[in-house]
Amino acid sequence: MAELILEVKNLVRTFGRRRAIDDISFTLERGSVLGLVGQNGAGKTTLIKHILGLLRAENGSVRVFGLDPVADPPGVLSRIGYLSEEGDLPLWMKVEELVRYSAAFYPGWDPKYAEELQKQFGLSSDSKLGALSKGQRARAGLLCALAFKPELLLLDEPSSGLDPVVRRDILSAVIRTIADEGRTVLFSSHLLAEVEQVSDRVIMIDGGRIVLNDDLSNIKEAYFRIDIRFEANQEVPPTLPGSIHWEGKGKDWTVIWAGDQSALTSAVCALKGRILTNRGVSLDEIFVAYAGGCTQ
Amino acid sequence: MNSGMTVLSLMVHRFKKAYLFFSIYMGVLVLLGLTPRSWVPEPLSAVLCLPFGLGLLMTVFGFVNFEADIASTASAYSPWLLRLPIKTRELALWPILAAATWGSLSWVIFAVLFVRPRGLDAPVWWPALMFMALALSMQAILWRPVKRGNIRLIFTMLLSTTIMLFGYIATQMQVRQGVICAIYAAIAVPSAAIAWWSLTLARTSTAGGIRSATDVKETIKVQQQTNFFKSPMAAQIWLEWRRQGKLLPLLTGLGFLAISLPMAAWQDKHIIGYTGKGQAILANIWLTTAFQFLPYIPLLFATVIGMGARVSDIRGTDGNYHLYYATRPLKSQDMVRAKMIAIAMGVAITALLTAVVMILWVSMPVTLSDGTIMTYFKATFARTFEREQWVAIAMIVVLFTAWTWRNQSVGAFVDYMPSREFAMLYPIAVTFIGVLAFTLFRTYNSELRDPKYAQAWSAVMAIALVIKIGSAIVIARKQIRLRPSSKSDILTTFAYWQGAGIVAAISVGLIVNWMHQDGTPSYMFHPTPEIMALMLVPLVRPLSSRLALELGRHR
Repeated sequence: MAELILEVKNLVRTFGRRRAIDDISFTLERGSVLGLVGQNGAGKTTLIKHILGLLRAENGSVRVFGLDPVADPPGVLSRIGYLSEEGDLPLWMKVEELVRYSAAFYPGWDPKYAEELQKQFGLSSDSKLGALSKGQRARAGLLCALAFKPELLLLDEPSSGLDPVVRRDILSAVIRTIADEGRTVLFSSHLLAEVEQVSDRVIMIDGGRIVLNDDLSNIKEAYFRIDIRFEANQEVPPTLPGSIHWEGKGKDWTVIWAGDQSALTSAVCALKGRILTNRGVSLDEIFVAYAGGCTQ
Repeated sequence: MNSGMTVLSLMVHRFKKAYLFFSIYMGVLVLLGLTPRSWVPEPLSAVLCLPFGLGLLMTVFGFVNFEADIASTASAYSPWLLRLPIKTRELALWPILAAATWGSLSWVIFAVLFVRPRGLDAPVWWPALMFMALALSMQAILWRPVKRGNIRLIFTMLLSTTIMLFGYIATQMQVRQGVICAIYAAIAVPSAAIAWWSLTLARTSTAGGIRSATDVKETIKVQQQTNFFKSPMAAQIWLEWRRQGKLLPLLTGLGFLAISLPMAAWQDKHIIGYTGKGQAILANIWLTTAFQFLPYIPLLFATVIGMGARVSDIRGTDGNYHLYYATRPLKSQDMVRAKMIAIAMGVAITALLTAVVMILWVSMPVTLSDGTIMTYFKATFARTFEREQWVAIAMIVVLFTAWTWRNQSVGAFVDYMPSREFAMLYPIAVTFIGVLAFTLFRTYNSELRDPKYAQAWSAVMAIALVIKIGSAIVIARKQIRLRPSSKSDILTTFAYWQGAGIVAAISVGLIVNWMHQDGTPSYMFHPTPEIMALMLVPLVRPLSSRLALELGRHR
């Protein structure tokens, strides 16, 4: 069995009366790429902040490399490369100062690799971070997150609001990190096509709970989009075991469905309907299905 | 409502609590002004005046729309307002008129309806124009995007101090009120025009304005990365030096420059004493008057910085820690330690700078009545000071340096506070408590010097000390509960406090003793000054800074 990099057990976190994280448990093994998806406010950033030790677990536990990130911040943070959506970098620093300052904290900092990334990203040493565009700042943050070849790369909505060129840079960085043997990535994003492109496992969070946690290949095999025509008009979405999301009106309905295909036909027949088309779905469609509820 | 009024209402809305409290406060003052003088004792009237200055500055700065760090390069005018499809005339005119009216009218109401009916003397017109000039000049400076934020920070501090001090100094020099008013008006009118122009620049310029983020084109220069820090601690000390440490020597240096300049312009001499041979010693008035204030300049700046006057970049607008700072792989106690070291470096450089400037000042020439020229030092200190006095002076210098470090280092507490609101309230509360304590000491001055009250004063101070130690223990226990590994750091802090407290108590005790022997009546009787020295050595806030960092970094 591969070494566990991350272990979250029964994690609970409330803000006031709202449960931001509601009894979440999962593990992440060395060398895997986990895509974390969910709507705004679903609890992704809260979960990542627990992994970084920025939030204390109210209930349950978080272990990163077997360590408690709150009890031992240097032990955990020195092995994590982190890039956030907000790109909170000290805007008064120059790129060169940021690189020198960041390098001091990581024994594995590779100056040659940092220089290579700086050239690739077009970051001038004497540029002040405050004067850079959002995309360039994201690249500077990415440089700091990658240059010490972290054991765990944690990306929290890194592409949000960025142009396609910067998104490509981030994505290729993730791919390159994956190529390095033994590196692990946790990648939170709204851009599900990107998650689909790089992840080998996906966790979907909704309302602070995990609604889907599986290998991407299993997900693709288990989920379908099915167009059904019923004999009579349906006022409300029919009850079909395994259905996640219905769309349609009258006799024609479309369902996102998960389960065993052999049971599907008989279940639809029992509802006096027939399957018109049956095809696989994208992660995007599954996400909308879980997040969106029924649409008539 | 026209667009200008909408802009104005948005500005007021951002600080609506401040405007509300200030309006209520002014209303209370006006009502008290209508009551007979005997109803409100004079010390209470004086205490009631204290929030005025801070309240007025806060509310006036609302019209400057002060969002940005002064040291940043961007315009302090709200960027989203700059992007709205509103004419620049509307964006500029109404806030300019509001700042000018609010600043001046508040003073007129305060002086005419409260201060004067209380029997206190206060000029009406020049301070009103001073507040107007101050508000408009701040709009002129802060609305303009600049290339170097640090220069704006320095310029803002120098200009605001000069504007505020000018009226006072001019009245001391018997300059006519009309002239002072005319000078302030001469600052205010062009300031308004510059503010308008600055806003136009902020909307169109690429230099730190709203277009800078997308328009900046630069040549890519990638330097070979060398000169890495030896350790994470060294990097953190560098960070804190850049963020806070260097500010004190920089401001003090400029302060010394500003206070030294009038010496060149003001050539009047006066007699400061006589030599043993009966010859009059003639010295520059500014030299002898301002010299005594030199040691207070670093202390003043350290206090202002220590209150968190500069907006902390450790917190975001929501009060949460900036993720980059919070995710440094460093223990929280090392973060605090790095800050303390950076501040100590700044204070040490400042102390050296102060010593050099004071030596330069005492080396200035003075003239004897027979035309002989000698240094100020030789003519005064070298001639009259005994050994004990030099020892006492040396101890005062050490205490002043320690006090400067203390006042700035307690600022760590504000910097780490995970609540932006508390951080904003802290300087107001500290100023209020400080001035209140000072007023009470002034009011009960004779009782402090009366031997029959000595025991009572000691008891009051001892109770305050017990409360301080008790609070420190409560904070320490909470910190240890959250992070058991910080126990040794907490114990070290207590040990430092004890050690520094003992040194401070002995030093203050010796100084008080020396003053008594010198013939100067003792201000307080032992052990009150010793307990006060123990009180002044920081303990609760250094512990709170650890707790604040712990709570902010691991919420």
